[in-house]
Amino acid sequence: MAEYSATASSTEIGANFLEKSNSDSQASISSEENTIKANSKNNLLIWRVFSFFIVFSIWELAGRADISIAFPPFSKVLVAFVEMIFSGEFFVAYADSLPPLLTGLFITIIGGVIIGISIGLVRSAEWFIMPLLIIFQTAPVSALIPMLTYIYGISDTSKIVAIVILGMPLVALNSYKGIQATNPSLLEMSKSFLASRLDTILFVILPSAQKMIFAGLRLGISGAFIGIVLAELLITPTGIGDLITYNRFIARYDKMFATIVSILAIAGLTLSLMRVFEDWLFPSEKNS
Amino acid sequence: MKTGNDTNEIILNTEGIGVTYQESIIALKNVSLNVPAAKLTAILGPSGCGKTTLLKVIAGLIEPTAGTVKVRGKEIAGPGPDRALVFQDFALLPWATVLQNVGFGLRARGVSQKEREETSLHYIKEVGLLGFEDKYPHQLSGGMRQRTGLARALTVNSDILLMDEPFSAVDEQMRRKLQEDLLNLLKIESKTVIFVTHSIEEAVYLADQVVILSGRPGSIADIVYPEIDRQGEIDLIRRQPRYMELVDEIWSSLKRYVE
Ligand SMILES: Nc1ncnc2c1ncn2[C@@H]1O[C@H](COP(=O)(O)OP(=O)(O)OP(=O)(O)O)[C@@H](O)[C@H]1O
Ligand SMILES: [Mg+2]
Repeated sequence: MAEYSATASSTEIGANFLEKSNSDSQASISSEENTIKANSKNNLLIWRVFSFFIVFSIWELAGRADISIAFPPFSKVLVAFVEMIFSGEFFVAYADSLPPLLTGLFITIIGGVIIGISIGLVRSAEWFIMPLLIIFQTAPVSALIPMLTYIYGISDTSKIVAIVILGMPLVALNSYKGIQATNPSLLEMSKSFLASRLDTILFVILPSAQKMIFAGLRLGISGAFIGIVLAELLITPTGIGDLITYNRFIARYDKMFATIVSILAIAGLTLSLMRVFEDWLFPSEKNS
Repeated sequence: MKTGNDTNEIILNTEGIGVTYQESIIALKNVSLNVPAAKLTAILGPSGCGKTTLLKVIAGLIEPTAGTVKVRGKEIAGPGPDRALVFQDFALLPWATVLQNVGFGLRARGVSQKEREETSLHYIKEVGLLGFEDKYPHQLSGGMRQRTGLARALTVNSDILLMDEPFSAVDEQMRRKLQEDLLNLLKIESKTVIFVTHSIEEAVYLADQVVILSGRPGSIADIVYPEIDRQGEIDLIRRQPRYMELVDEIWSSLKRYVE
């Protein structure tokens, strides 16, 4: 009995001693980290604004240098951009383009993630779907897009299929790779602590694949935007694709570029929303 | 020195364990081992001789190509609640805090969050990580990660604790402190410990039974029972003639595998 209490108290002392030294170093770590974090965040924003500024400046200069009439300076494009917002041209075009774009994005994201995760988790699905995905990823898929007309005609369906073809393989492949890349040691750990398959998927595999899945989503979203523009340029002259073609035809290059800028802006916005969504879904990642 | 319980009970034994990787790499050959309850068994051997493999076979993570592992006479079929493993590479979830990592085993057992946190905090304190429960693994030193892995294994309250080089990532002072803590813990919690180590001194100082594995393929070369009197100052213990004799003895039997 005496021995028992003696050892118990010696453990306590040891623990307390450790605690003290620990909390000191902890304080210094966290304050240092915060300042680093804050600084790098501000710096990043400054650098981003700066890089936009440089690109637009070069554009402005190149446009004024009269290289070609088809290349107006940035200021003119900006004026055309504002004009098109108020004239309703954008509104009409996007009313045509957004519904298939959103539908296509939805299918790309949900379908891609589900397919990627499934083949990552179920070994037997792998041999079946992987070759298809790799073909879609490496083949010049854009060349296939005009052929969609033969199947789906000039319709929203063609647009949606184009988006899905260009976006989904990227999402699925990256989700699959993310699942496959789970550290085997963590899987062993999970097994040794008797976690069920579901727990292992929820608490080990998915969090570990999260970064790759979201990287795939960003690539897939970019692919989807390429898909809608290609579809509208190549097969169904409607929406923003038509706005580009039409303005090129009547030589309003400022408006043509303004349309392109608007697509880029919307694509960028969607990607940022994805980031916000990721941070909201996995708040802990902000720490690392 | 251990109080009360029947000291000779064999809680775990292996019979003729053999492991062959990829049909050609023979990692273990015919390892038969008795592990007495509430004692410390050390597995000692040159690098790459199959110590981790043996521990993972005992943990139920690797299915041996030959032989069986029995806990209290019953053959195991994979991991079980009677054994908890401390990993050589820590195996912490990088996106989870110390508290969440330590509570992983309890979560897998369906323990409620409140109870999980209470138990986890208790063991976080026990391993001296109090104040670090909200940190992420990348914010910890190697030794702190190792202690997180140790706390995680302690929470599930298994009778048998399997530790793969548990003190390899810490400096000498911390190692000594953790070794003492381990001895104290065993006096309080009465656990059976099987630990892998590279250090002859550590094996002799901590273990009741030292299993010496030969070079690859690993098989049992020798078993030594230190029976060191561990009362009093460590430095005195380390100067005991019996202690130094044993270290020499083990070194001479290991030497021939280290070329
Ligand atoms: N998954 C595996 N596939 C093939 N060979 C393996 C595998 N795991 C281990 N080995 C081999 O089996 C042998 C034993 O490995 P093990 O990790 O058990 O050694 P160890 O004694 O723990 O080494 P260390 O002291 O360096 O940790 C090594 O030669 C290793 O190369
Ligand atoms: Mg090892």
